[in-house]
Amino acid sequence: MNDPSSSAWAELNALSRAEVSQATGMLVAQLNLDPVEALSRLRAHAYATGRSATDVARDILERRLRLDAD
Amino acid sequence: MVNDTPRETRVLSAVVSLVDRLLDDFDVVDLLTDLTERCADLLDVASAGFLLADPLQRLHLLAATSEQTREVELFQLQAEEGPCVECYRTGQPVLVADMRTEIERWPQFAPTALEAGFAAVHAVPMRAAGAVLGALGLFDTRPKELAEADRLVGQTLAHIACVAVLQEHPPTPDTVLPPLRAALASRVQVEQAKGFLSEMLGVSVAEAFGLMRSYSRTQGEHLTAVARRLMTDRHARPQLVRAMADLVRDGR
Repeated sequence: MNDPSSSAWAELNALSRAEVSQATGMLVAQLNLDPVEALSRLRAHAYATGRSATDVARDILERRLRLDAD
Repeated sequence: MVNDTPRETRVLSAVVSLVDRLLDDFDVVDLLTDLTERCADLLDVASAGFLLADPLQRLHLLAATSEQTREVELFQLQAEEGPCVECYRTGQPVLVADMRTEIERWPQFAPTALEAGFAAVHAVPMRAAGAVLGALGLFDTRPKELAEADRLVGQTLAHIACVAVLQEHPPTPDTVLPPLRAALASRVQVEQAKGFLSEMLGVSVAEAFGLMRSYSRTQGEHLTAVARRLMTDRHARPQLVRAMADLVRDGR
């Protein structure tokens, strides 16, 4: 973690957008998941629909999108 | 000292340069000696010194503007009685505009200070973690009140001295990264908790943040700790959500 070029930092950067974190928190409440699981659901949905995690997060926050429980 | 720069600018420039040094490699005695010189200059007093308590609550001189024997002796005498030790024991500033009126209060210290040519002696506390660590002593040759603005400047410099003393190791490139990452990670948890609460309570994300901050203030629990508990502690969640739902109800 002390290496600024490590992928952990790049990952943190991409996912530390406030919208992504807030939407993750909403998924935790909606689907009764751990934050880690909720974030991977969000990312999986983004990947499957070819959109960015930030776009998906905005839809969740605006309540235009609801992910289903497994 | 002749100085045309407005005092506000001199005070701010001293604070900026001192805090700047705290963010790099610094030596505590060297920095505190500089601080005493800044004090003497900014507060227009003749001499200043930091006294720090040991675990047995005895005060020791850590740094002073002058190495002159009479002043060092005065500071050492302060360990027994006088404004600094009183300030240390009470945690309150002790401001003495005219030492001539205080002979009975400090039968040893007052005559010695007057003999050494100091008519006014003030002390402001160094505090941290709810405890008093020591005091900053200010000595002046003329009888003079310490104005409120001067007391605040002195207190600011005393706070900086506390941070310098308590910062065990000056930051290095290796040591800044973990706390930086922790700060960023805490922020992620705070954002998650905002989204979580917004969904649970049917409030906006901004309102959820306000609720979390009110809750953390009234409970005396750090905001990031509240967010972490909300996001990682399933057992704590229901009670936390209920407490914040109560805040929503009380606020409406």
